[in-house]
Amino acid sequence: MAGQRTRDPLSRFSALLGDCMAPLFLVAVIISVYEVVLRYGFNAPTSWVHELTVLLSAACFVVSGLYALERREHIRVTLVRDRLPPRLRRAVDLLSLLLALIFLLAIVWGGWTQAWEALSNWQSTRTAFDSPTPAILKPLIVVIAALMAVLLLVQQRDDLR
Amino acid sequence: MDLGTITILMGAAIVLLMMLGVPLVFVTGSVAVVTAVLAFGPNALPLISSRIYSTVDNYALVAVPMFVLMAAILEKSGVAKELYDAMHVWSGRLPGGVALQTMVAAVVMAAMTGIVGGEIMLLGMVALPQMLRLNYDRKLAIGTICAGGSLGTMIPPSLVLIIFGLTANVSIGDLFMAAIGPGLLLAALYLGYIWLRCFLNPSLGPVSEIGTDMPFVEKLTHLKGLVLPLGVVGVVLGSIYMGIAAVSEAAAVGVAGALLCAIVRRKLSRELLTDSLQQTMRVCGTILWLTFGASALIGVYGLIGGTRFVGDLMTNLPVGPLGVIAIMMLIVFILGTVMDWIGICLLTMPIFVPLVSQLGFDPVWFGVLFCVNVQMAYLSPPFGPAAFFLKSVAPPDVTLQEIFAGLVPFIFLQAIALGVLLFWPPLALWFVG
Repeated sequence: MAGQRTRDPLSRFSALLGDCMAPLFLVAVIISVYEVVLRYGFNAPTSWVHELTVLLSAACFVVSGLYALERREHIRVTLVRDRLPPRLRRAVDLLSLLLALIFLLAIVWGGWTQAWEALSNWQSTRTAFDSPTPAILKPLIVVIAALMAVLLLVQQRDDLR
Repeated sequence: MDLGTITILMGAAIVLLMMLGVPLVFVTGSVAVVTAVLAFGPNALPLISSRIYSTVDNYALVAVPMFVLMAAILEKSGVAKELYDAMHVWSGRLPGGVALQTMVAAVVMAAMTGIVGGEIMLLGMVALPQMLRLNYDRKLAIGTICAGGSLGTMIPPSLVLIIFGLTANVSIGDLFMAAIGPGLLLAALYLGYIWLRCFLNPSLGPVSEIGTDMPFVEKLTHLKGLVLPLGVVGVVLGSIYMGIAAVSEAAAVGVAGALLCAIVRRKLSRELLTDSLQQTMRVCGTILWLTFGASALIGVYGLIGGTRFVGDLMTNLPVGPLGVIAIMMLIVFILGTVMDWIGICLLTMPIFVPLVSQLGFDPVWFGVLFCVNVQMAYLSPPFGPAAFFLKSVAPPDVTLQEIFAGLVPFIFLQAIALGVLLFWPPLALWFVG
C-alpha cells in the first residue's frame, strides 16, 4: 500500500536517507568485531573504534526518527481514536500535529545556536581520537527535527485530500 | 501553583493525550516543552536538544541496535522456525505436549532475541495452527503463545533490561545475570500450569502422534542445525556474564555470529541484510525517539523539583520500605496497561531508583522486578501489546476478547512470580557476583 502510492519528494527522501544510513550499523558491527579481535586477540586496543561506533550509531538513531515517521510507525495508542466519529478524529489528528510541532520546533529553536557553534568551530570530543561527534550530531538533530516537522505537515495535507 | 497540582496536571495531560492517539514521543515531548516554557521561559528550550544529544552520545546505547540486528538476522535466516520444528518432534505422547514444547521453544528463542513482538507473531503463525488442528483448548493455546512469546522481556538479552540499566545507571551485565532466576521461575510456572491443566483434563491438550514413529537418533539429528545459533547465543551471553566484554561489544560479536549462521545455512543474501538493517532502523526510530521525548520530560520535571517532591511523598507514606516498593510496582503496572514500557521506564525510574537505593534495596533486584512487571503489563488488557501481536497473525475467528481471556491465568502466574521476587530477593541476586 505505502509502496504503491506516489509519494512526495520529502517522504521519498526520508525513506531513502534511512535506507542509506542503515548499513552504517553493519559498519559499526564490523569495526567493533575488529576491536574485539585486536584487544582480546593481540592485546592491542584501538583508540578510535569506540568513538566511531558511537558516532555512526548515534547518527542512525537521530535519522531513524524521520524514517519511522515516514512509515507512521511511532508508538501510539489508537484504540480510542479509531472509534471516534470522523469529525472528532480529524480534530484529534490536528491536536496531535500541533503537539508534535511544539516538540520538534522546540528542538530546532533551542538547539540551532549550539548546533551552529559546534558546526562552525568543528567541535570535537578532545579525546585521543578527537572525533567531530558534536559537530556532526548537534546540527543533525536540528535538521532532522525540522524535516520531521515539515514531513508532518505534508502528511497532514495528504490526509486531508 | 504547587508541585502537587503541577504533577497531577502533567499526569492528566499525558494520559489524556495518549488515549487520544497522539504518538507517545510527541505527548511526552510537548508536555516537556510546555512545562519548561511555563516554568523557566523560552531560555530553557536548549535543554531539550542538549538532552537528546547526551542521550545518543552513549556507548552503551549501541547495544540496542546490535541486539535488534542480531535477532532480525537469526529470525530471517529461519533459525527460529527451525528451532520450533526441531523441538516439535519431541512433543510426543504427553498430554499438552505441543503446548509444553512450544513453551520450551519460546524460552530458547527468548535467549536469542530481546524483541517480543516478533517472537509472538512467529509462534502465532507456527504453533497456533498446530494446536488448533490438534483440538487443543483454544484459550490454553493462546495463553501459551502470548505468555511464552513475551518471555523475551525477561530473558537476556532483553531490551527492557538494557534500557533500565541505562536509565538507572546499573550494570547491564548484573541485570542480565539477575534476570536468569526469575526468568526460569516464570518458565517453570508456565510449564507447570500447562502440565497440570492437561494432566487433570487431558481433553484440553489431546495426545498427538507427532514424532512417535520417528526413531530417537533421527530426532537428535534434527537438533543438529541448532548447535551453531545456540553456540553464538551462548558465547554472547557468556562473555557478558563473565565480564569479559562490554555489552555493546558482545552484541556486535553476536551480529557477526548471526551472519555466520546465515552463511552456513546458505540464507545470507543482499535482501536478508537490507531487510534486517531496515528493521533495525525502524525499531530504533520508535524506541529511541520515544526515549528523547521521555528523557526531556523527566529532565524538566526534575528541574522544577518534581523528582524530589515525589520522592519525599513516597518515603513519608506509612507503609514501610517494602510497602513503598509494592506501591511503585502498582504504579508501574497501572501505567503499563496504557503506556509503552520504555515510556514508563524513562519516566518513573529516574524518580524511583534513587529512592530504592535510599531505602536500602538493590537497584539490580528492582530492575528485575520492573521487568517481570512490564511483562505482566504486556499481557494485560485493555492495551496489552502481546494480544495485538497475536491477533495480527491468528485466524480471524480468534477475537481479542478470547485472547485476553486466555491470558488471565498467565497474568496470575506472573503476579505470583512478582510476589516471590518481592519477598525473596535472592532469587535474582544469588547469581550476581
